[in-house]
Amino acid sequence: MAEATYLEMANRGSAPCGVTIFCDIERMSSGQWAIACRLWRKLSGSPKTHRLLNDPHRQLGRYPLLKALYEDGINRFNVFLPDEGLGALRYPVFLRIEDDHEGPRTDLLYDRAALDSAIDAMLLAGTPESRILVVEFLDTSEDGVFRKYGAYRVGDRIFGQHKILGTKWQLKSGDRIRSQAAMDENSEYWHLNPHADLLMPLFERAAIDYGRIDYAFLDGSLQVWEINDNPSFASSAPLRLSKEPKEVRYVESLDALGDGLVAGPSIEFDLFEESLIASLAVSGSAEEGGRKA
Amino acid sequence: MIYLLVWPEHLETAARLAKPLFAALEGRMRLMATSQLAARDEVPMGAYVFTGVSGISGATRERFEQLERALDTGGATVVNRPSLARRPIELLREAGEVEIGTGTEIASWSSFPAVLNSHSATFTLDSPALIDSAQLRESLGRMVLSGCAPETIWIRSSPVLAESGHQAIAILRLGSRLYPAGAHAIGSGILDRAMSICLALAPDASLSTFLVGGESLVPWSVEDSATAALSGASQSGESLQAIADAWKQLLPTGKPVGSIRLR
Repeated sequence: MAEATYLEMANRGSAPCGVTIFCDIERMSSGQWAIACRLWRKLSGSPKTHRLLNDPHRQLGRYPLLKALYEDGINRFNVFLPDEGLGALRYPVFLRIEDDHEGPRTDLLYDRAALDSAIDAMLLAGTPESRILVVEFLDTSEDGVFRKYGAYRVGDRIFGQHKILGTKWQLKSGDRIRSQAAMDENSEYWHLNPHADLLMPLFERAAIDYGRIDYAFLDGSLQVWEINDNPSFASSAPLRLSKEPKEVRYVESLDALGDGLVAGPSIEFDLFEESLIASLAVSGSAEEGGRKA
Repeated sequence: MIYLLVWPEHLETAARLAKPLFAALEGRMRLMATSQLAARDEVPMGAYVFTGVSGISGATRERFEQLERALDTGGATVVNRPSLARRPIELLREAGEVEIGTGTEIASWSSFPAVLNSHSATFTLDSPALIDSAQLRESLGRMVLSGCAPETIWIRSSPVLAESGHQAIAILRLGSRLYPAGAHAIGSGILDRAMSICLALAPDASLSTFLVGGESLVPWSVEDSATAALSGASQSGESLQAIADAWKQLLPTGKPVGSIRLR
């Protein structure tokens, strides 16, 4: 396994046979996305020797995915862009950035005045309005405890990564409850992998073949927070609380991606060829709007 | 008091660059992050210098223009008005002297050597000098993959780059005062032309650069960022005290009293 930036791929101008995973599509600018699509098309003509994951043409970004899941009746919270008309919001809400993984950028906001002020602060800090996402808060706690699940999809396999318990709604691993009972819940989740069948249709809805879904449950109903298409993976670092060999399942799943592929020549390509400029000119205008919608 | 309004992410750099100037101004200038204004109902009377507003658009621009109106209504001095802010490409186009293209014009570009530039609210990037369309395509691809949005990229030719021996000059503008740097070896006619371009087009607190080769003058950049305004003091070759005195001219006359309501 080797990592390469898109720029490094462009400089190399070739991809050996094997599996190529497109990551960070949700964080791309319109121009980067146009070039990633170009790379996908260059590599997609030889499925027997080159397997590709995360088609940038099809993958839904955070906003369209969460909107779709709400409209499908899966998620019970809605998301909005600031220019969408915010009259129908169910408070409290919080703000986050459409294309990063930094989590909520505000505390919970309980009325329109507080929301306007928070949007104002982000605009004055130079954040383009198109990158601001207004998210309805959904309280999934039980007896004051929030449970956040994280599970990977690697090709055809789905496996649980963590179940974090905590008392804060902005649940990060640093805030987790470190009791034995909490560790046992986490361990059981990893061993039983109980939600794989529920999660695969959600990854399919997002057109994400490789990534990690963060989710919770409300009254037994699964709620998707986000799907990260370039997630970090818990290694066997000595400071990790969990003792399960999680990396083994991850590596096995990566290995399985190559099943059925045959050896073949590298694919040569030139990403910066003649039609690039015309493609970028379009991506800077109409295609960006079309992509976001 | 002069308040230099800077993007939050530029605050640290601006604070470092501002130290000598602030010392020369004896406490009459402060930095303020633009985001701090959102939480405030009122601000003190003074001169408010917007920086880095040449790349703003949409809702951000509207919000800055609201702020400008509130400061005007309250009687503050406003420098680098957001309502008048224009992208550098517009200013350079108006200045003439150089061929510029955007969007699909880049695809048919044939005037080399040329340079690609990208300018957004908080980010500026220039390519190296490009000598043919193959280098242009590659450089464009690199800039986009590095994070430059295609709509922020433009190209301009540079006849001066084709010749050897060109030099760069910088002109710091503070209100009606101009402080050229590196202009000792060029003719006064050329310098006068550069200065008149600055007075006609550059924002009140800004740093413009020009390339000069023989009698040829190419407007190269117009920057209204905090770092340009602050580092311009050291680039201009003028004494720090002279620059500080020019900044003082921006202060409102009379004793500043009261505060300005922002909402």
